[in-house]
Amino acid sequence: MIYGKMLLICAVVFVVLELLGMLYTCWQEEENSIALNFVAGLFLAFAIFEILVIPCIFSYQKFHIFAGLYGSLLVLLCSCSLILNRKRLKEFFGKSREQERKKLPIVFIIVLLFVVFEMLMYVKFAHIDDDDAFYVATAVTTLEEDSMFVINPYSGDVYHSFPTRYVLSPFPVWNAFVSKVFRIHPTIFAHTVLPVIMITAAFFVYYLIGMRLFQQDLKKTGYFLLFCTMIQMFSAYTRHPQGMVYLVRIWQGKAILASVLLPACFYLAMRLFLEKARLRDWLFCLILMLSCCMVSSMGIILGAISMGLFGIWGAVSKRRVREAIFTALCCTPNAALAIVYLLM
Amino acid sequence: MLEFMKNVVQIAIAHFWGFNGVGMHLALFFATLLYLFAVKKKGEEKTRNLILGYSFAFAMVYVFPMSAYIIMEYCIGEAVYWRMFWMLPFIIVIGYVLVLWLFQTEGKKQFLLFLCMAVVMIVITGKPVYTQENFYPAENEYKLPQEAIDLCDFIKENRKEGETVKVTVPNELLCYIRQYDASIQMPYGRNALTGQKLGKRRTQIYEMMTSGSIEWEKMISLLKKEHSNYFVYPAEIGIEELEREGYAFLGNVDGYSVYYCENME
Repeated sequence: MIYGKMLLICAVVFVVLELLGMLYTCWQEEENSIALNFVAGLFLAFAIFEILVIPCIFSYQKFHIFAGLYGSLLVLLCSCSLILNRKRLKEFFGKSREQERKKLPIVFIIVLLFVVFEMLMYVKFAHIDDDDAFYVATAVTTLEEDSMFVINPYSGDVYHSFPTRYVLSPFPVWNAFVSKVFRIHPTIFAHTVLPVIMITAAFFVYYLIGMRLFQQDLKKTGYFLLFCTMIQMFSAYTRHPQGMVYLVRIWQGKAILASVLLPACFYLAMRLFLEKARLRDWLFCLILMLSCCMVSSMGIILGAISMGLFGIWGAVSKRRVREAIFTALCCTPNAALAIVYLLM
Repeated sequence: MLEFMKNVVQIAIAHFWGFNGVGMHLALFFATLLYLFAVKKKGEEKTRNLILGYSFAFAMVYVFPMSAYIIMEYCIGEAVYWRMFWMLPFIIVIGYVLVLWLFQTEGKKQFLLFLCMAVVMIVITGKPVYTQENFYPAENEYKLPQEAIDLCDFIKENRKEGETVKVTVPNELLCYIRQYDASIQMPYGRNALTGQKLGKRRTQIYEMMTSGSIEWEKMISLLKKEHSNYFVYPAEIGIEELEREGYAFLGNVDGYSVYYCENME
């Protein structure tokens, strides 16, 4: 039964993220890309979440009120996207995929098999990580108590003050939200369903990077993805590398930061500084920075440093201050949250 | 000042070795950077400059004492300074250069030979993630130890309507109880294992639970003051003392005895 529900959740999340992402991609001239839609949709969902949840947490709102607000906004945005993209969707579904499938290089199929294998490992096997005693238990506590960061997940006691390290990056509350919507236990969602969604996101990010690096060459991108997958699968030389956290505990916010969001900074840097950047790309950058803040307190700093370094490189290489200024503007959420953190 | 700078750099270098571990993927990354630096390929200049420029800027921020100190002290913490390497796109760069090399080969044989060599190189410079050390077959859909789930279910079956449950459990179960059922309270959880401040009474309970030698009279008094109406301990130990002091034996679950005390006074 859990597998049926898992497939249903993945399908609904996929459609929602695609629609959200199309709000970003509907303005571009590039060909419709499922990968870019998905990634942009995920970041948009995270960014909106961060903007809404922080005031709700600090004003001690009940979780169900916040969930209603966030859920309604997602529905509204998806509806807008459907209206805005009806023509694109019609074209997309009307197009024959037979030729595309024939064109898919063998190496790409091998990579897809690897990705399915990674997902199956998460679904069938377990990895115990003691950090879940906070992250997953926070999601379970949020649902149980209908509150956000009011109850200590370790003991069930009321917090004397907000846990400063975590309250600005409330990814466990997002877990609780999705679990509430689909009526699934947050621990099952975190350990079994969320990894499938996040592996898809990471795969799409690396795919987008590969397609940019190799000028839309699917064969070269296939080999690029194969090498990246192999590197990830042989990353157990310590507990820390990106590949290791990606393959064993992707349900934690910091692992999503390392495996999805920071590589996405590289992708965005290519869009912003190797090509002509448009306003929507800078908005994408802002959304990405908000997502980094949402998933992990590390993301507030690492996201800003990473994008900041790319911005400085962009300004120097293009000999234009505009690149640095725009990057700095995109990092303002990180700066604001860092100041709040230091003041708390 | 010089001493301070030296210290910060040493910490940064120590974190580098910690992150590198027993692997050679970072060495592979440096080799690919050297290649990009030495060889300018037509049409790849922009990407090459982006990678080299970013990697250089990263290295500067990472080892420059002032920036390293600020990040360690005010941003991410000294203990996890290695997480800075998450910003380094070494997976992407290695993959990128290997593909450049791969497509420089001539003929199918050379291509296949190089592909095999590249895969072998990645394999021998790393360590496999998919081992029994990292993964084991899931006992349940929650991916939690079955004992923790059985204990929570057992307590749920026995709890009275509207009753607040506060359970003290052996250390090996601390991380899992509230991941399964957050309606169950505990005097302490994983925060005890990580050395966070617990308060005097809870620290005493935790220390006794950790030491294995329990002074039952003292323990029971502390549990009652803590309003821990449920107590879980490995089977057959301390039954007489617990029952004498008002903790009734409820049952055995997966090698653990569950006790319940109705009257906390």
